[in-house]
Amino acid sequence: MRLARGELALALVFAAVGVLWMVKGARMPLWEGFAPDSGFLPLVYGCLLTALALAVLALELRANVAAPAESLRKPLTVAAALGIAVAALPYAGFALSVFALLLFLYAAVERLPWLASLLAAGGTTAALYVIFKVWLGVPLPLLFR
Amino acid sequence: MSAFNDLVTGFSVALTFKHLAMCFAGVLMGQMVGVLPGIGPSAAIALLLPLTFGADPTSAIILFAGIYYGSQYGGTLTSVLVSVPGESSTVMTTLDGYQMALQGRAGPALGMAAVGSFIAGTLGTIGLMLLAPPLARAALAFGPPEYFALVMLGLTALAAVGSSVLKGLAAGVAGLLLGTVGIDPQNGIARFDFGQTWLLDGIEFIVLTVALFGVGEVIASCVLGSARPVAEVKHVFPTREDWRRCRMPILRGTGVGFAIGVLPATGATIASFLAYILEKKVAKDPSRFGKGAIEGVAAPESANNAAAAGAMVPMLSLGVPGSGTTAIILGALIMFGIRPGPELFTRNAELVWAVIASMYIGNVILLVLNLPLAGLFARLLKIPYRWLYPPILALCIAGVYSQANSLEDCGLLVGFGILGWLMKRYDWSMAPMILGLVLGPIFESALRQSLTLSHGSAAIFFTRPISAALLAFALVAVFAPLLFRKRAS
Repeated sequence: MRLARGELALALVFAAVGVLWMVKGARMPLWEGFAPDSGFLPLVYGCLLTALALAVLALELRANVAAPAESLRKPLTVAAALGIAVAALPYAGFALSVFALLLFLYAAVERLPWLASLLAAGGTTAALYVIFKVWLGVPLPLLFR
Repeated sequence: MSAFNDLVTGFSVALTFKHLAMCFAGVLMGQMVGVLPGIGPSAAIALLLPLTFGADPTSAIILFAGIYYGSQYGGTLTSVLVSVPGESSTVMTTLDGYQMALQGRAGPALGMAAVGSFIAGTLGTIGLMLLAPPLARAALAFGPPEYFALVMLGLTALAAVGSSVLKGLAAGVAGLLLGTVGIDPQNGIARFDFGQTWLLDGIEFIVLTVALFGVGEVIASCVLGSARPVAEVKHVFPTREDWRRCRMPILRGTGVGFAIGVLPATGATIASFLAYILEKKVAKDPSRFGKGAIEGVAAPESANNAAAAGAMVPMLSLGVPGSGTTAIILGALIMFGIRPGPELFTRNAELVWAVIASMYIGNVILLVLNLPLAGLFARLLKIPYRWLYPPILALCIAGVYSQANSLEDCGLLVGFGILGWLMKRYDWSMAPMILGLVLGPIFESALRQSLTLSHGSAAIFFTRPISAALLAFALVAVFAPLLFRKRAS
């Protein structure tokens, strides 16, 4: 049985965040008069999160849990596309970034026909633009701000 | 009598055009997200949060409550027609519901599920109306130690609902930890801002909720295959024989569901499981169960709807959510500037009673929608997920950006979205993280006030009876599921 490495990585990330909070919390004032100060609860949360994440890690290692069967390729592609679209927002603006993201997902990831992909991507972008920009008055980022 | 008068006031608010429209939209959306793959009520509410930001809180909470109990109806369709539970609370319905569909009786299964859900939802709302106000009144005497213990109970109870108590607790603590980012309101010290001024305001509830339940769900579900063949739906109105068989299972399921729903750390899934087991135990011929017994559909469906109403009791009266979705509704209340807890029934009586009244109205709308239109909703099952998830992602970006016009929040959306995907993939409960973020500030100020009152002695939490009892319940909430699972396995 293949060990779920992602699960172990997730537990390690939580443990690392716990350690970060412990270290930074300990550097803040911990107690003032009768009550805890700014660093006390972060320190406690950090200790607890590290302990719980390590306990999960130990249990998973002992149980030798199998990795989920689904491929990682598609979720990683979708996540990367979302990341690129968000990174492009300040430069390309909302409409172009979102349209490109939708077109990529429909046409390249899902391999849907180009015309249908163009219509779906364009229609969704236009609908969101009307709802957020026109109706709700949200100052969505524009092209080349 | 007082509850009756309050309910009349609630109806006078809920029956206005705006609130009726919100109730209709909520139950319709709930029904749809229950049917559609890869999006549940938590994700639907998360996606709508940015759109309701700044709106009338009563309308928004009526909408969210409608999505919550409406999704219980919608999840049944997928259980019966394609043997895939739309929600975890409809798993038990699959056993007999799908068998009925294979025998050409999908219509009666869905019809009886709708009738049972309507009866259970209505009776559950009556229970909510009778139980929540006295509970809230009793809790009005709560001071800081009791609030501290309440938050502790809420977090541990919700952590215990998921598949692993340890993972749930870790997620809850991670939420509390994220709640410390930004300016400490007590003394103005900047915490965990990492030199970034945009982090001084802290991490917004909307950003984390949309990221975990919107983006995380989409990335996890984008691998879903194409739509499955769907059984035909005909003759949804139950026959006299169906009704004779299901009367008592519906009533028993309602009782079990409501009682379980009220208890923190349980939820609709356990309620439907227990209702099914109970029916099998009391049946004259238990061998019919699993082979298309209509009682096996009526009882769990009644139980999960009664549990949804029951879970609103601790949420509205104490501020302790009984499920992941009610945790998000609780966060929405705080987002609207409403403090959840015992004072909700006195300070925001109109809102609470309007929501309760809307639940009666919503159950009637759902019955009307489900009996004649079950076949139409079944067609939604034919929509492949590949058409749905790209617009959901685009809505997540627009929604999160619109909340504070912040591009940095969109960056957090991606980061927490990937975290949400991993948490879903490896079965880490996400709702406790949201609750931790939302309740973190209340928790911290209650701790500080309590210890100031007691001159630094932690004994204040154990010497005050209500606080001690709540902390004891929190311990039970953690250890009871462990024992229950050990026995079950």
